[in-house]
Amino acid sequence: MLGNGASLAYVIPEGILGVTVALVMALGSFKPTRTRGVLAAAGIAGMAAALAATAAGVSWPDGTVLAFHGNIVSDGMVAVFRLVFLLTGLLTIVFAYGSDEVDTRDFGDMTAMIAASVMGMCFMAAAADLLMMYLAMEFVGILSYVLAGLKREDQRSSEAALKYVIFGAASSGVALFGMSLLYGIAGDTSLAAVRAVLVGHGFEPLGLMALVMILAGLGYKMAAVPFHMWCPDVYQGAPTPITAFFSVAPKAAGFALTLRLMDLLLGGIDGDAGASLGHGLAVLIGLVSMATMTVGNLSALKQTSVKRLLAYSSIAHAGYLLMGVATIPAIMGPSPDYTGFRAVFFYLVIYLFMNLGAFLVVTRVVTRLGSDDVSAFRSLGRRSPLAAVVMAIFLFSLVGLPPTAGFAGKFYLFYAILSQGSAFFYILALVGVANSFISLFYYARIVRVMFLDKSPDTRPVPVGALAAVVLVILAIPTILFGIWFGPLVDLAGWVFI
Amino acid sequence: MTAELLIFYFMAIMAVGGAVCVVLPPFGRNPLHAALALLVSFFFVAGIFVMLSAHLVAVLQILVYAGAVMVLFVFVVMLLNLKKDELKGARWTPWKVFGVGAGLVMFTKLALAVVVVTEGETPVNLAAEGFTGYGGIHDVGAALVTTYLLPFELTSILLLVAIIGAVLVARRQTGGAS
Repeated sequence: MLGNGASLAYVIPEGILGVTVALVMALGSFKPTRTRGVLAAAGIAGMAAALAATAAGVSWPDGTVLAFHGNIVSDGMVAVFRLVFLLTGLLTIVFAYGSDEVDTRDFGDMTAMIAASVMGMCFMAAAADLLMMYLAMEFVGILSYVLAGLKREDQRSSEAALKYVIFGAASSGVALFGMSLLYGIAGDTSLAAVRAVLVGHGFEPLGLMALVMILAGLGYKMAAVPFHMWCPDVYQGAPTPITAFFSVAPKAAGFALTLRLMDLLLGGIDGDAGASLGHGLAVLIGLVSMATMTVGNLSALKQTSVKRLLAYSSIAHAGYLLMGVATIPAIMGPSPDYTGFRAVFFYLVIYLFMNLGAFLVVTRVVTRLGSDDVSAFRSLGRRSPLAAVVMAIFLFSLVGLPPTAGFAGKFYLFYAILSQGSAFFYILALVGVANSFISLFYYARIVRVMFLDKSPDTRPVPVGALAAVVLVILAIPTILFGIWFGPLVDLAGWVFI
Repeated sequence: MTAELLIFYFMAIMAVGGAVCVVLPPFGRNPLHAALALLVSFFFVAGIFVMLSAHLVAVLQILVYAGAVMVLFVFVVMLLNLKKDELKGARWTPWKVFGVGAGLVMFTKLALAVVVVTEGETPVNLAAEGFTGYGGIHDVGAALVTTYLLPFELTSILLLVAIIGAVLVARRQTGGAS
C-alpha cells in the first residue's frame, strides 16, 4: 500500500485531465464567443495527451498496486478503462465542436465538464474504498446533470436535467445507504476490510441487502431496468453530442465499478464463504439483464425519434452487457475465471465505436435538418451517401450481424455465459438471442428509411469534412474488429489478469 | 438499561420522528412546518454523533445542516411561495400503496438483518483501546490530509466544477456576458 507522494505516479492521466480542466476554464473566460476552436483544441489536446500517456504505459503497472493509502487501486483494468473513457471524451468534444446545439458561450465550460467527468470515471474504475466509490459516482453524476441541461432555452433539456437530478439523487441515496450498512458491518470503508469481515462473519443477510442496494445505484448509472426511466427523456433532451457521451461513458464507468466491486468482494473467494451470495447475485443480475434487454428492445420498436430509439437501444445493450456481469460464480473459488468480465470490456469497446458512430450521424442530421425524427433520415442514402452507408454499418453492428464487430462482441459474451454450463445461463443466453432478433426490426427500419423511402426534399446534406473523417475512423474498427479481433482480445486480457 | 441507552433511545426516536413529520401530515402539509420538523431531526442526529464520540461531525452537523442547509430550504420555500390550494393533500394511488408496502417489507428485512448481525456484539470502550483524541478536530484533520487525502482533494475539485456548473445552468442564454 503506497502513501500519497509515491502514489502520484499512478494517477498521471487523471493529473493531465485536471490540468486540462483548469486550462480550458481559464481560456474560456477570455472572449468566450470567439474561442470555440481554441477551446476545442485545448480540450482535445488534453484528452489526447492523457490517452497517449496511458497507451504508452504511464500509470499502468504490471501487477496490482494499492495507491493513496488503499483508496484506489491501479492495475491493467484501470488503464484499459481509461482508454475507453478518454476516447469517448475526446470524440464527444469533436462532435460538439461541429454541432450547433452547444452554444459557443458554453463551449469552454462544457469541455471542462467533460474532461472533469472523464476524470471522475477513471476514479470510478479505480475505486477500492467505499468513500472513493461514492465520491467518484457523485462526481460523474453531478457533472452529467449540468451537461444534460446545457440547452437552457429548450424546455425538454431543462426537463431532462431535472429528471436526471431527481433520479440520480434517489438512486445514489439508496447506494449510499447500502454502503453505510457495509461500513457498519466492517467498521472500515476499505473494500478489502469489508471482504475480510464478510468472509469471517458470513455474508448474509445484511451483506446481501447492502450489495443489492449498491447495485441499485449502479444500475441507474448503467440504465438497467427498473432504473432506466430517466434514460429516454435525458437522451432526447440533452444536446446530441452530450447524448452520445452519456450513452457510452457513464454506462462504461458503471460497469467498470460493478466489475471492480464484485472482484474486490468476491473474486477468488474460497468455496463456502460467499457461494450462496455469489449465486444469489448472479441470478439477480441475470434476471435484471433479461428484463433490461427485453424492455429496451420492445420499447424501441415504436419510437419515431431516432435519439429516443437509440436511448432504448442503449438500455438493451446494458442488458446484453449485464449477461457478462452475471458470471459472478465463475470468479469465485480457487481458480477464478474472468472470461465473462473480459467479455463485458470487449463489448464495451466495440459498443463505443458503433454507438458513437451512430450518434455522430444523428448529430450531423440534427445540425443540418433540425430534426431527429425518423422521417428526417428519408433518402439519406442519396442525399448524403457516406453518412447513410456508415450509419448502416453502425446499425448492423448494433444488431450483431456478422461480419461487423458487434457480432464478435456478442459472440464473446454468449461464449462466456454458455461456458458457465448451468440451466439458468442457457435460458439467459436464449433470451439474449431472441432479443437480438427483435432489435433487427427497429435498426433495419432506419436503414430502410435511409435507402428506400423517398423524401420530398432531395437536396444533398453535407456532413462536413471533419465529421466525415471521424465517421470513417469510427467505421473502420466497427468492421475491422469483426474480422480481426486479436488485439482487442489482448486488451481485454488486461481486465483482471 | 443504562442512562446512555435511555438517552440514545430518546434521541433516536426524536430524530426518526422528526424525519417522519417532514413527509406526513399535519406537518408535511405545510412546507415551512416540514422544514422545521427536519431541523428537529438534524439536531437529534447531531446528538447521536456526540454519543459516538464524533464531536467534530456533531458540530458540523449543526453548523452546516441545521444552519446553512436549513436556511437554503427555507429560502427556497419562500421563493416558491406556494398558495394554499396548491398544497392539497396527496391522493393515494395504487403505486403509492405498492411503494409503502415495499418500503415496509424492506424496513422489516433490514431491521431483522441488523439484529442478526449485531447479536452478541459488545460496546467498545474507546479510551481503553487508546483512541483518546477520537473524533476531535485533530484526529479528523490528520486523517483528511493523510489517509483520505485523495478523496479530500477530489471533493475540492468536485465543488469547484459544481459551482461552475451551477453558474452555467443559471446564466441567461441571451444578453451580454453579465
